[in-house]
Amino acid sequence: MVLNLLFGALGVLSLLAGAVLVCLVTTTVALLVAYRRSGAVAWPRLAVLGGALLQSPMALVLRRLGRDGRLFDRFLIEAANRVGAAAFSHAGPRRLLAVPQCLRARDCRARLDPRLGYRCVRCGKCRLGELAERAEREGFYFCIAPGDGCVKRLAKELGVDAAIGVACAAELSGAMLAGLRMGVAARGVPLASDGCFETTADLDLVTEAMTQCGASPSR
Amino acid sequence: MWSVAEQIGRAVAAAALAGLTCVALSLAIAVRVGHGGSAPLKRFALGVLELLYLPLRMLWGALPVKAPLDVLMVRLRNEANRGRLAVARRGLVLAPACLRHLACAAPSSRRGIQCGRCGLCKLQAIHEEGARVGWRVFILTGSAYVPRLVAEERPEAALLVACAHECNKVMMALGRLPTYGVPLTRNGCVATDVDLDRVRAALRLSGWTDANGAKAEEHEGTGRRNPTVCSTW
Repeated sequence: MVLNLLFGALGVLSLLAGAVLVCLVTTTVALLVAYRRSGAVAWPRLAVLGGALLQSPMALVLRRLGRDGRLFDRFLIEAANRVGAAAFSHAGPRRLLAVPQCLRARDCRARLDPRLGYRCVRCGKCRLGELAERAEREGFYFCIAPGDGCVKRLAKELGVDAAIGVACAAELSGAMLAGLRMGVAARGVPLASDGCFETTADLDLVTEAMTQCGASPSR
Repeated sequence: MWSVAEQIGRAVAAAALAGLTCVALSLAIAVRVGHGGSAPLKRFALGVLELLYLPLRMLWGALPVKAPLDVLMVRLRNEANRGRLAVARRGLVLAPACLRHLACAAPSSRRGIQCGRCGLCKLQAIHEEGARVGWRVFILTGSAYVPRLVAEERPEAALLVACAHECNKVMMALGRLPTYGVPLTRNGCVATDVDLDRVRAALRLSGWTDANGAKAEEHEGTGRRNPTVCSTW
């Protein structure tokens, strides 16, 4: 009798949970389709929740279908950017701009510092020298990172209030979700073309993010 | 109506029990293989862990398993792929650029870092080991190189040298291609390190034979194949 009651309650709860899950999955897919068309993410918190839940099965399905998972990654980055927008605009003065080393020119002669990443010599072969100057003017610590381990170490060491990350969408989506979980005020700018060699980024988006960081007075 | 809810409840309880059993079984297989033991159903366990990778990573701290999930998955896949690696004749060795010496001036290209074989880092030795078994070695600055190189080179297998997380990520992304991972002994994206003996041992698992049909380890005079040579990775 008690067991039947428990199974009945479990059935009702399961139906409710199933309905919520179906709604969440359907809404996430609908938001993804809308993002593909308009480039904007409506209901970003819901998108982040659904995206975080669906990320690994979605990646598996896309891989099996031989499809490119970058759209889903970009969708997650945009959603995470919107969720963290308020914290980002109210961030304190310790700020980090981390860009990947693959944005460098192929014959870059920058020296690799084990702690701080590549030290740009401003030779003008790529646009990172120009970005470094702008970042320093805006009060950002500028890091050309050889890998994400270097960024994590540096962010921890500097105790940053906010960070702007430029990386390929696949790397950035995971980092943005982890940043949201840890309460870091972050803004992600996915590379315009990836592939780990002579990649490109929309530097206007990066400078726009620098302008927005801490633009509002602290709460 | 209540009886329908009861039926659903029973079905959900049965499904949850089956799901939890699958996860527990997969974890038990991964831990056993990770500690050098042998176990059946390695591919099944890999499939379950891969499907639930992100939720498991989030919950990993609460589970009574000391080894990181990525490490266990790499070890499990290594064991699952051991037989397929033994018949692969054309393979790739994918090594990370962070193994380079800090003063390395080798230029980058669309096919990775163009190593000058100066001998300042372990990559020269990895090149030599790769050449010994006829596998091409690429030094990569990121994982986005991998699908391109695999499409261009069409290897039968790949040996990955990277931190455990990247190793597992690329192994998952490469799906059906037989892969074998050798995680770094020191991580951190700069001045990292790897155990060369593990790289050698992994390459000796490959299907390479010399002109006389001898296996790589026999060529080196080490005698018959030692099945436990790579048991930890």
